Amino acid sequence: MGLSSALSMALSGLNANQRGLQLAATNVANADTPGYTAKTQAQSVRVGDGRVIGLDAGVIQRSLDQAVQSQLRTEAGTAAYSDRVSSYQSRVDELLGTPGSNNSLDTLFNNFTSALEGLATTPESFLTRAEVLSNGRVLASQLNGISDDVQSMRQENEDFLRFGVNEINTALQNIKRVNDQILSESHSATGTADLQDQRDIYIDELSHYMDVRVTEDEQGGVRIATNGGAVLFDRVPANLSFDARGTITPQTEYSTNSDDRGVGTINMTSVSGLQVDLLQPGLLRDGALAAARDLRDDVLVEVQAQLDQLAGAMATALGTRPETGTAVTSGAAAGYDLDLSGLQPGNSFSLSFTSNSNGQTQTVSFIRVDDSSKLPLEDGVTGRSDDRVVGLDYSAGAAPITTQIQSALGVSFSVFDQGGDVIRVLDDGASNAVTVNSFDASVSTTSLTDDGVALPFFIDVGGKAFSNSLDDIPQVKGFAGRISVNENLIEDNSRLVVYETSPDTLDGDSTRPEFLFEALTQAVGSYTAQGGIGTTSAPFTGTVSSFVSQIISVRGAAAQDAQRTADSQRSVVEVLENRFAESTEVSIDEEMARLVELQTAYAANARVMQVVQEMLNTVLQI
Amino acid sequence: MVDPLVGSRSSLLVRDLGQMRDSLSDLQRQLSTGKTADTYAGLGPERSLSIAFRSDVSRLDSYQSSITMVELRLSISDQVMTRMNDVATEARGAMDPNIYDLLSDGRTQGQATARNLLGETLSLLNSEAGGRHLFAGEDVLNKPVESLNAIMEGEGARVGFTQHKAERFLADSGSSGTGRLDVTQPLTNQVQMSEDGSHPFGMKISALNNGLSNTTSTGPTGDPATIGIDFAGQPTAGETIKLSFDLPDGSVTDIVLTAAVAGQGGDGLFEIGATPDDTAANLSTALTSALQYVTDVELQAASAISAGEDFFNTANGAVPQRVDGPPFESAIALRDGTPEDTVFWYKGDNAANSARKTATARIDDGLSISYGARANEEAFQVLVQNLAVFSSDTFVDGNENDEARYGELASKTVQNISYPSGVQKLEQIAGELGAARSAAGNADARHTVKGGTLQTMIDGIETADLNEVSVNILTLQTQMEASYRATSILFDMSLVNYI
Repeated sequence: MGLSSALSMALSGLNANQRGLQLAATNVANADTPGYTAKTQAQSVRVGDGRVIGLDAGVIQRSLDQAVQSQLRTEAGTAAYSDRVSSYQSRVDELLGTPGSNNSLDTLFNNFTSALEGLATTPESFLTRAEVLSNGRVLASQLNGISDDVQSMRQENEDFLRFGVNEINTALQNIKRVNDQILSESHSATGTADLQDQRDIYIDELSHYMDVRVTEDEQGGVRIATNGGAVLFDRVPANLSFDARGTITPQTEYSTNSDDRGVGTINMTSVSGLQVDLLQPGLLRDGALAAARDLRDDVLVEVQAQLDQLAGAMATALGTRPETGTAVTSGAAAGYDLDLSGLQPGNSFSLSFTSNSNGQTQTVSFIRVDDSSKLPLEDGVTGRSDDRVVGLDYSAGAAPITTQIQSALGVSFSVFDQGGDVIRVLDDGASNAVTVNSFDASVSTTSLTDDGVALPFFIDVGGKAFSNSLDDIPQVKGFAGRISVNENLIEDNSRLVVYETSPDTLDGDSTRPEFLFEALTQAVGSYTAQGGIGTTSAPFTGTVSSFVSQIISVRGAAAQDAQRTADSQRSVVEVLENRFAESTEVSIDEEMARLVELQTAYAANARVMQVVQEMLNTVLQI
Repeated sequence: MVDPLVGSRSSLLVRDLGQMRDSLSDLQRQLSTGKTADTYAGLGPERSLSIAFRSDVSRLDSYQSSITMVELRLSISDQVMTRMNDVATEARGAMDPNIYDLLSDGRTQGQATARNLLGETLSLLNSEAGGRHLFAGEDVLNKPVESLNAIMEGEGARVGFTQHKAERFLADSGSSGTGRLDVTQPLTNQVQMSEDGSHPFGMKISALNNGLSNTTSTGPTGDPATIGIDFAGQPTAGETIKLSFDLPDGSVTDIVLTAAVAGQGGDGLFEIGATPDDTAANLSTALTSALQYVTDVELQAASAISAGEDFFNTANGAVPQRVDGPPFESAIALRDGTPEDTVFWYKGDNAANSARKTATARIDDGLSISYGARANEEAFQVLVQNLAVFSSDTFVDGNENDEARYGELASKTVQNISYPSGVQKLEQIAGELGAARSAAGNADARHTVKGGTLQTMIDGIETADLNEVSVNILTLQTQMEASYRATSILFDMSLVNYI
């Protein structure tokens, strides 16, 4: 081994030291840069002819625990989901008001019923009547406001989905650019660590929006797919586009069928050119996009349904009068006559009978439906679990319903049209297989007076009575946003007391106020399971008052659950972030120590060169 | 731009500190508002209790405000009833049959007092509480009774009580002033007396008690009833004949005539003439004059009482009754008065249901009290009617018949407003209203206790325990200080500082 080889050895050492210094400088400089992972560089001995001939600087590597990274991405996606859901659940909860405050929904409802109680005690007072109306209006407008807010929250989530599509497309484009670079530089001596850092930043961004699974191939390229199986990136990115619809209203809902869909969705043209609806169930499970979708199409729709049910229950409780059948007999057959002249679309009448063979009592509920495309009806529409529901096709008027009732009831019964909208149902008389127990209707009142004690206090837009019509778009859908106090009542508040005009009900008659008060606080109704309170087989039953409490409790519990989930998910992510940081973090102490080491090595290598020079000088001076 | 997942340790530390700060501000909020949470979510699982309790408290509050309202009304009713009782007592004092001291207007001092008491009674019945008339049934916005003058004297085309009373007396006395009875002699030895028709007016013959010898008598038979006396021979002096009559107000009166020897006749006697025919003629004359006296005294008093009954008894949807005439003297029926021709003294709600039911208040779940009243309820009507009857008559000083009539009238009215059994008493109404009031009072006390308990429970759920919060703040403060210190040491401990 000669001096020249010593010199070149020292030179390669100096080179390696310089690169080490550069790496340390980069590490220190980027210690606090988000997305930067600490880098290390391996050194190897350069061997020639079986002898060490120098030093090679190896590939720059990232210090990174890939298992933790992939787990962190999954959990961060879940956290993004639960954070978003929780923040909206809390907002819904806040919409219902602060406990005990003047504007909370239950306080407003209680104020309204208290005003009715006051009216029952002092029906003659103009001021008491005015107070009932003003409390009713405040309650209605609060429901309108909450309903509008719920819909604007849905709109926010729709906007978020649209915004997310752009972000994701940008991220995917960036991933492609960096990924291409990595592939082309895969054989470079220093490696592609910095590029990988960059690609991870974009993938992290993606994992915030959706749950992604990243697999790396041998060349260093990545393949990205959602856990649901939609491939987002495989050398080339999929293209996402937002299929927008109009403004969000309570009537607009998601459907996998593009023609029925009232809200926007995300269409993905996959790597292979296939087009899929990314928001269809199953493809996105976690991440902010899935949260926005679930909020828009599920959580907030449910909230709206609860509010609608409440609004509908209030209008129905105050504005429905019972129409009781009159018992009749014809020979041995007994039954009832029922006057159906006031029946509105959506109103129902029901027949209760006992099968004498087994002693069981059954109920058949008939509902007026003017839109025959909605038939047949499901049993769940009545909020009763013990009845069979039959939709009556009124599209051709009331005349053909006799036949429909007959065919629904079967041969044990005889159904007759008595004229004047009176229907007669008789049992089978002497054969005595069945006995009719009752035949009653619930009719929505449309007039302020001379239509029973009930009162169309709350009405739909355009002065229309709320009859829970199922035609076209069900009337209950979005009713919370439209409910208002009957204008005619505001013009003449004496109608809160006067229910008959010939002769006029006296000012001191508390019959109607008492009915109104009892309808909200004492009369027990049952509610359909549409709002997620109760189930079809065991519907929630209770007073309107208890339904209000139920809604607030359910919303409060949902908000608290979401909050808890979000909190616990956040701490999971924190733990992982800490662990991940341990593996990726630049340790300043280590870098300093390495600097000292490099400095010493550099001085030593320089000394070697100096010594070689001196020795060469010595040789030359001979 | 979303943060990449690779963060630096320092940013994580700072975030931890931020979370502690958030907890501190939440504790501060609890300290300043006194509430554990400002959302239903924050209340935890007990939120449904809190909501249910709040709804209960609100309901109790509304019951209590109803009770306060009802209390006010019932306390006014109570004062009215108390005064009304005093009025009845004073009226009984004024209606003394034995004090007949006429004033210049032909009325006694007692009658003048009665008229004043009547005025007061009517004004008591028009009592209101906050615009609500308490004795009007459900027609609470209008005064239930007319003014004293209108009731007594009438108003425009509408006839008042005085006029009706006069018409009624015409109908009761008949054109001959014999109480609608005709005394005739179909044969010279016969005396016959018959009612002039089937109608509610005048006197009705109820019995004949003939103690005259040598006579035969028939009746009373038929409707209209008739009696007859045939003189086959002469009666003996001192023998009597007694006739009993029913008066329109339900009281009875008798006429007793005693046979007297010729030349010794007088009131209550008839002379035995020379022949049975003469005696019969004498009896007929004596009978007629006795009937005229009874008509003038007892019947007129009874007629006034009946007129009062016709005019004032309107409970349960009835209307004032008028004599169907003119001519009134020969009237055979009463007719319904109309609002156009008769003063309806009671103008309020007059349905057939119980007066109490005309005002109800819900004072507890499933508990209502009924506290309505109508001015034409029997107890009130009896007082008003008898005061009106008593005070309306006028008398002529020195007329003995008038003095006797006054005595009759006073004793009849005083008896009526002593509320004989079977007549609703003022105390009954007062008692029923009092029962409602005490039920309301009990409910109020119950609600106060229950409301307090519920409020305590709500506070237990919603109110932050200030001691706990303070301790938490102190703990948190210590933790934060320690963390700040630790963080600062951690950042200081770097090799950079030592080379």
